[in-house]
Amino acid sequence: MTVTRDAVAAVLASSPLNELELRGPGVHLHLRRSGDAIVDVAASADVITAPGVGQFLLRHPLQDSPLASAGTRVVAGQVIALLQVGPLLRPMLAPAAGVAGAPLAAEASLVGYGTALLCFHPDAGEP
Amino acid sequence: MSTPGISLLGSSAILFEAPGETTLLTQQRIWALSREVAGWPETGEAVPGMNNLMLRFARPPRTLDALITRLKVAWEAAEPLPLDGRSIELDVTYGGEGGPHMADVIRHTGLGIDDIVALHTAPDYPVFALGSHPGYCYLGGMDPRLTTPRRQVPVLRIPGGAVSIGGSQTGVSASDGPSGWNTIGTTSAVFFDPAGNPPALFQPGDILRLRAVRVLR
Amino acid sequence: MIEILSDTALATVQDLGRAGSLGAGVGCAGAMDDLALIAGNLLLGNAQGDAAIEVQVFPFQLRFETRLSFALTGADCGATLDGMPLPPWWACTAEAGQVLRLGPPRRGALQASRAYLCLAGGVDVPMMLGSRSTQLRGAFGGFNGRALRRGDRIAAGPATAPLPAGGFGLEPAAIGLALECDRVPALRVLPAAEYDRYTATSQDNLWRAPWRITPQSDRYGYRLAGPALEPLAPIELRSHGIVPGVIQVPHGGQPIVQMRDAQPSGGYPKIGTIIDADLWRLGQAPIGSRVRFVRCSWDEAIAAAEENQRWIARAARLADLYRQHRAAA
Repeated sequence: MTVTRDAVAAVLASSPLNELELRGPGVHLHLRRSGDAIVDVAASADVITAPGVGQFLLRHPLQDSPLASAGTRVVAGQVIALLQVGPLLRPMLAPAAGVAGAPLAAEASLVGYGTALLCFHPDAGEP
Repeated sequence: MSTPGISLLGSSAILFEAPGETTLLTQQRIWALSREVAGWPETGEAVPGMNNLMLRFARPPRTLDALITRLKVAWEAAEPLPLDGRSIELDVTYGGEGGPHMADVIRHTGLGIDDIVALHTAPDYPVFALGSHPGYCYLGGMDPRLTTPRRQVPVLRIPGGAVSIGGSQTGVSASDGPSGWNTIGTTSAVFFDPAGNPPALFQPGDILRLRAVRVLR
Repeated sequence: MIEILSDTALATVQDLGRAGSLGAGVGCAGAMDDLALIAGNLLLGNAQGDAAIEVQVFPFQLRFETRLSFALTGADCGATLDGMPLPPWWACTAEAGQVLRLGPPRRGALQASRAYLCLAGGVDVPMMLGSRSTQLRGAFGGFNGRALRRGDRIAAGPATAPLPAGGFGLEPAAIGLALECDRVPALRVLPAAEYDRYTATSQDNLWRAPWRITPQSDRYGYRLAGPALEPLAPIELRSHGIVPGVIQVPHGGQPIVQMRDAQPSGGYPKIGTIIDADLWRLGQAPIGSRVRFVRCSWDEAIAAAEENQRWIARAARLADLYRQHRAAA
């Protein structure tokens, strides 16, 4: 049986699920709901997950643009997103030098521990 | 006005203003009131001015009525407190570069420079209060004939030691800074040392005497 | 230890100001935005009133000579640490040799004008007359009684709490404590002694006009532009104590709000006083922007002070918990 990526995405979109992962010999498809869209969690990307409960922020409350929009080159340790708990802002850090990827959760959404928040594409090889 | 004025300075202080003309006797009652108010729990600092007193709150009280009543009662009870001050004499050079606004005082008062110097050096000036900048004294006792309005445009920098007249008041600047007063002379004295105890040379109740050592025409 | 790399004529060491020497003619000085200073100290686990560096001219650069935790609050200056962007209202740790750079405050609805650099352990300068704030008139306090210059080396006190790796931040006070009137930043005002001696039109204008902050505005005072405030008759006053926030009206009718470096006494008529709880808002209002005055009651002034205290207490509690939790993890 052959399934296309788009067919799986359509199934996920009409389901109550947030995420779908298919693994088999030579197959790895990992899709996730992001707002109204279905996005790929690319196999080559790291996924940054929530370190706790809070509100996921791509933008600092004082700023109009994201801390690191998808495609932005960042250095190891750079703050690329925030998790707000009351007035406290916890950092989501770039684990290595690389490129910020697509967000996997909506801006200002409430997330729990382990929720995947955004993709990150580390540079190949040693940093 | 015959009753004291009591008003707010935002949420951080309350201002008490004694009625009547500015006199030393009233100031002595202000010193007494200041001493009384300094011991109140809501007081951060009691700051005498010219026949008035600012009570800066340690923390603002929840309600004001009781405090205002207490202020009025304390004022009624305040007996003149003659502070046993020191007498300090300062040498002044009048006019010239150190007194750039002498001409304005001459013009406004219609007096000659010698008369101005004579009138300005005649009194014992009681230090009513400190304010404006570190070590600066507000003095009582200036001859009313020397009254000259403050300048329309303040001077950006007058030097420490500047002897000046603003309205019916006179004073000696303790450090360089801007001023709206008319500078008629200059003196060399150190008025403030932050490491000193007390840091200011003069205290309320001290007597300042001015001696003309030179008059530059 | 840090070394200042910029010629920054107007950056000064400030804490919460000097109390208790008004009677010697010494004004308060202190941070123009006290909440930002407190927030920076809370992030680091410092005492709330530890001294910091107030920066108001940009760009501003400094080098860390030793490993040191620091916090940046106040204006969002697009700060970078060795080129790596830092979020505003953020605390983190610099390694020895790293350079911190602050650019001009970013434009936007919440644009501010002063940034605060707090150091773990507080900026270590001598306490003078009960404060570490710089007293420019008289030249004492702060760093040698003057503004900072290139080459100045400034020490931090002994650090207390370790900072979690990656640092953390606080939501700026301008968001949690927002206050507006007709979409213009608002400042609550209590009428002052001479309020009743102004014309009804002037009283109306005080509350209704947007007041523009002119370029002649600094740590000493903010000169505002708007409709002239006219007394019913000329007012002559005797010199008396004043506080930061007092709205004086000199000849000409354009008000001046006395700020942190104001002298402790004055004689201009006073139409009102901005309450202490709101003075930080004006301290951050950019030149050219507009503010509104909102009349308030004593009870409202007290409530506003309490609201600020609650904001501080909550931030302090969460920051302490987070530092301890991460230290244990």
